[in-house]
Amino acid sequence: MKSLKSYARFLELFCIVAVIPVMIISLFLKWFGRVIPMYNTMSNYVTNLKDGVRYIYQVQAAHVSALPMPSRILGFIADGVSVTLFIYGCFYFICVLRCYQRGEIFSDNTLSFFTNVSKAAFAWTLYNPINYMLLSIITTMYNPVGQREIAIAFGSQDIMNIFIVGCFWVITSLMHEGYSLKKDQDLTV
Amino acid sequence: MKIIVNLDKIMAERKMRLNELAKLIDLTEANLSILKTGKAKAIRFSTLEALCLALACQPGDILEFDPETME
Repeated sequence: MKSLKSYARFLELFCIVAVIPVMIISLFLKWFGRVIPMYNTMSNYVTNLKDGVRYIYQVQAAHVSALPMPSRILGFIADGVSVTLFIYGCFYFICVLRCYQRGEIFSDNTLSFFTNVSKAAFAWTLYNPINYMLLSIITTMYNPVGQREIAIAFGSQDIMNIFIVGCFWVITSLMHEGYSLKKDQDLTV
Repeated sequence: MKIIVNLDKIMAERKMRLNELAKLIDLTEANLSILKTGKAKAIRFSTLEALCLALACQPGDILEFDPETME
């Protein structure tokens, strides 16, 4: 139990200090990087990366910087929905971790929070292909006629995400079973 | 079908209170109350043995099967 509490504490801090801020900052940097002066610091960091990784960042940055501001705002909103779903899942995951720190492993609260994490993961997985389609429209809507695109894609990453969501649902079902076993155990004298 | 717990009857006959019985059989009052009010899902043999010893009775005096009662 002591190790579970310490792991839960570490994960909670990691989510709050690293995961959520990185998601938000990278969202802003992706769409408004050239506008915000602090991106110059990131550019210096990018030049120190290995060639392949630097190429990816520079191509992405060059493409986004060529977009007009209305496209950037729409792209920010489209990506923002994905990040919001992710943070929503993180929020409920943090609530689960706080329950574990209090010693509540199988309880009503833990069960409902974990179910919400699974729902958020499912929604995020469903939204990813939609996000890709929206971004393809947003990034080409100001192109000349004949160069506008709508792309529908479903790749290996999406299949992996579905697998991960399936694992989440299996764990949620296990939590339900564990909760009913605990209730029976509590009523055994 | 239901198992009926007649613990309150036996306790009244022996003139024993809940807290006294709980101390005798090393069980919390809350758990003993769960048993007494019929909310228990299961009872361990060790608990049943301790109850029979403390109340000087048989398991059949404490537990009764009533086929007509629906849960």
